[in-house]
Amino acid sequence: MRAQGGKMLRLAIPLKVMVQRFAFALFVVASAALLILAKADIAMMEKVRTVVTDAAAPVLGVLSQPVVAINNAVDGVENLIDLREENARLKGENARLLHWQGVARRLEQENARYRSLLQVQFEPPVDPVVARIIADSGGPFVRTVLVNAGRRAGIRKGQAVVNDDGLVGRIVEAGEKSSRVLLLTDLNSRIPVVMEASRHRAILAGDNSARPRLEFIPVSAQVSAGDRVVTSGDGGLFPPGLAIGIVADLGDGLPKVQPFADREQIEYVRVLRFDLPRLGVGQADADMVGAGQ
Amino acid sequence: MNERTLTGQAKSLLRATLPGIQVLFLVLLSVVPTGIPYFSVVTPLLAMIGVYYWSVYRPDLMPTPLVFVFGVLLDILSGGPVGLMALLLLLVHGICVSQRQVLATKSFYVGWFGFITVAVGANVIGWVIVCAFFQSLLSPVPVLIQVTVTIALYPLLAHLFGRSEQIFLQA
Repeated sequence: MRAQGGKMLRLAIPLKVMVQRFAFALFVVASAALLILAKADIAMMEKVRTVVTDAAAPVLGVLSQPVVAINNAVDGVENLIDLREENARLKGENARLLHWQGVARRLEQENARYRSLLQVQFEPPVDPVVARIIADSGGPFVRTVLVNAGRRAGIRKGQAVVNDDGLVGRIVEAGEKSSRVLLLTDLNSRIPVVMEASRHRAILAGDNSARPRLEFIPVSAQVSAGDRVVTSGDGGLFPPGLAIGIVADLGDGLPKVQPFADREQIEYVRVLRFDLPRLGVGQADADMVGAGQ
Repeated sequence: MNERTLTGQAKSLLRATLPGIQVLFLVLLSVVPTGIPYFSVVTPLLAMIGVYYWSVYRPDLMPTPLVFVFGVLLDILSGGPVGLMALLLLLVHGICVSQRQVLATKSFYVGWFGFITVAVGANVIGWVIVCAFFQSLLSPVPVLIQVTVTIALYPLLAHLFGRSEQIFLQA
């Protein structure tokens, strides 16, 4: 009897270790299975992701507040230091902008007159929602941020996201209270663009670097450094003419674009609720295009 | 009497959940926007330090399912391929638990050296997986910087974990 008890005890420890090893192997396999499911990009995974981010959104919102406060304080001090210089610069800029305002008003009226003459369809109005970035840090492999507004605020997949400087990216996942923005620098970002002056069309393709590339430029197109790049509106998801950046580096291969929106300076963004009813780009189509990209 | 057992229960609950709460906090902290240029790309893998430390010193308080949950949460919040960090954290956890006799010494340098080995190994594997996932050769430079920042932060976090262990877990 005693000998049997001892044997039992000797068996019990390896059994525990075996159970632990089995559990470990099980979770490793589960992680690998998740990776395969994520690659397959099925709807269920997206649902799970949006539910989790919605649940975490309030906590992240609170956690990101001190950072916002510190940044604001630092900004405040910096602003105080170069107040004089800034003031001089702004006065100059104001004078220039007043001139441009006059030009813009005149052109606006002229445009309106031509449009009515030609009976051109007007672009639908763009209705922006302001959202705050509550999570940023995709790590080395992805360039995305989370914002604290979702479907309840009218945000849908595929909508353009901008800040004061220009285009930031587009919505790839819309939860109830939070949404994920794919930045235009991300490896998976493809945006139809047009060179503002020459009107040549291209695709702005992110590659995880700070400067996305211009792909599919017509062979005849002359691209030179400093050219402004704006959205073309092709595909009907983005309003046309949103500022993106300037051609910065012609390099050996494809020209690179320096975006106007500096990722690190982004705190608040505007999500542009833009629908083209006459093209029938409703929710279903927007989802389809979003999923297809 | 009743109150005393209640506080006793609360204390033991705090002890049992302390490592988990710490790592959960690190997971959330690592996705908070900082506004520091390029920091979001090379954000240190804070959760990896936590999983490593507690898997070495108190594996009973850092069970495998919890590591998996933290990994998936980190994947979802950071927007990366879901399952990637879960897999890497599990690898770290598995190595720590199986090599406990070697790693769980009083020597800080052994612990740090162990972490450097494990972190570099896990991230090389991670980089290979991500390249396969996106079917493109991604630059390894941000990963190298990220690992370096993480390794540099290990002493600070390990010290904080050690202090919390002294205060809460050995009382």
